[in-house]
Amino acid sequence: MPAETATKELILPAKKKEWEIGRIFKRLIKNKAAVIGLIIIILQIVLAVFAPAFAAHNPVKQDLSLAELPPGTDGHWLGTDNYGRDMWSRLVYGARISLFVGIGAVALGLAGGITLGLLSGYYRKLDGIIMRFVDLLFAFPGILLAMLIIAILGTSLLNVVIAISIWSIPTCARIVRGSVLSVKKQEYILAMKSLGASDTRILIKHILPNCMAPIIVFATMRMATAILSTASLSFLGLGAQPPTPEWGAMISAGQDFMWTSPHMIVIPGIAIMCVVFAFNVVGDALRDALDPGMNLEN
Amino acid sequence: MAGLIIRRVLQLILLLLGISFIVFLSMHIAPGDPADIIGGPTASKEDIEGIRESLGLNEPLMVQYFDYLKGVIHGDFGFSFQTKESVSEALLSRFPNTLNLAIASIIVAIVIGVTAGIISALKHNSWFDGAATVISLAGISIPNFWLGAILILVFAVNLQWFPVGGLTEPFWTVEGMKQLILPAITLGTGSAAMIARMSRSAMLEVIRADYVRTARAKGVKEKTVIMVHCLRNAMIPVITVIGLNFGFLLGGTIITEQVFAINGVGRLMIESIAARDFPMVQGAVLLVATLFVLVNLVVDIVYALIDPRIGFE
Repeated sequence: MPAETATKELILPAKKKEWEIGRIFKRLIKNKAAVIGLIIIILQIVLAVFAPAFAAHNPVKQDLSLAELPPGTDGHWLGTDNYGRDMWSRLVYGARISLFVGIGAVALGLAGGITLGLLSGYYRKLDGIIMRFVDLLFAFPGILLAMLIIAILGTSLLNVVIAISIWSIPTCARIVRGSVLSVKKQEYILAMKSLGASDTRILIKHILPNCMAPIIVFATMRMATAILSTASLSFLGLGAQPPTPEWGAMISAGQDFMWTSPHMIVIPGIAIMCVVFAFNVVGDALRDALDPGMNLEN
Repeated sequence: MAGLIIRRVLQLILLLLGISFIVFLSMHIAPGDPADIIGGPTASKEDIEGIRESLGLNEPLMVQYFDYLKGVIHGDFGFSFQTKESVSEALLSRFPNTLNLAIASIIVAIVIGVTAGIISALKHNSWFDGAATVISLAGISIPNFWLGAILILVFAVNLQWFPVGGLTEPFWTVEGMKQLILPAITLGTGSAAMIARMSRSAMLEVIRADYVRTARAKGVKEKTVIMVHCLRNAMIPVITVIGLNFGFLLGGTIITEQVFAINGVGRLMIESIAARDFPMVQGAVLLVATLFVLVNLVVDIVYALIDPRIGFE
């Protein structure tokens, strides 16, 4: 094979990939709701990464002389909570916790789900065992499974990450398995096998990249679920513990003061809703952009 | 059809065995010896050993599991570490509240979801469709514990239309219904949004079908086309979503019960997790998970009854 042709072959897929990403992005930004969602997600990432720069006060520092100041107060534009802690600063640090917990839970869930899905879809002998295990995990309503895991491991934010990631595994495994089953029948996979490529190489280099579309959509939507579940578990007192500025825990703490200081529950609630909404609409739009025929809901 | 039902029931039995094993194993994986928890800090070594013996904790794991299973089949879930009361009795006394809440929520979800979904599809691309789509996305994104708190603030505290919490009166009384409305809306909103999305897409698909065009061409009244030809077929996938949502609502009651201070299984479970009262947690998880898979089984069978093609797959 002449060197020029070989180089072309190496370059072309990269160019094609760039074009594909550009096409998907163009489709994505045609959806107005997705654009709003993307802006919210970017805003959350910026707030989370540069939290110390955006927060005007220490989020856990108490000052009872400033307790329950309403929004719009000088120096505390979102007001303060019952311990005089600045609501804006707590919200900003809460964005960091919610994002990192979401990413951690989704990443762990993907690692488990992708591994099980690849093995189950590729090796027929493992399929039965893995899928029965997945069925078993599906037999628990998600929040119940998470609570059982927390009951075993104890209450902490790290255990919430583990619980939510285990909850994500069965859905992810099923999605990946479905994709693997269709991809492994393709001719190029048979070609790779006949060339003597190892199973690991075929799975990681050739099958996995072709299963990425549904995985990306799942991960985006799962971020919404992970953030919402983290907040729910923290609200129940099973996740972040005081004085951690986690949004769900903030609502839980604010419940006793909602008659006198409703902003203590209204503000973190709106933050959760916006972020969850953002990941949901971007996930929806990504699904349409990546493959209009694909529908996870069905 | 009979074959499908038998197959599903056999699968269900295996699944229930798996669930019971996971739930049983949870107590053994958790750090801390149950005998230490029951005995408390003042118990002597002999006391702890006595407790271990009486609970059968010295037996091999599988023997313990089969003993546990035997108990569960006979309705004996053990006794609470904390209150020493029978777990089955505690669960039974609280279960009606959880079930009432789940049923009321699914009714709210069906009424709102199906109506909004159908109107959206019939008025495709109208302002109503746009608003319903955005609201249903928001409905999925709202944390239900937060929605509950806001509803309490507005309708219970400020307007005083409903009580702040509790579920103490029977649901068929006016007072009982008043107590149930806010928790049912809180829990049902997410499901209503999902049902609305599914109803809309199912209805849109059916409206464009050839047989609907044929019915219209034959001069069938529009009302009949919608109610008989479209709705009946569009409802097949919606029923599945409703069934699945009912299962999830059973799990979701845990949070709503906490917000509205309802003495249900979910609230009992949270209190038990905090107190590391494992028999109670195990009992609650087993009960909710069993109901969840039973509901899924019923949905499968109903689905096959409505759409006979499913039975042959």
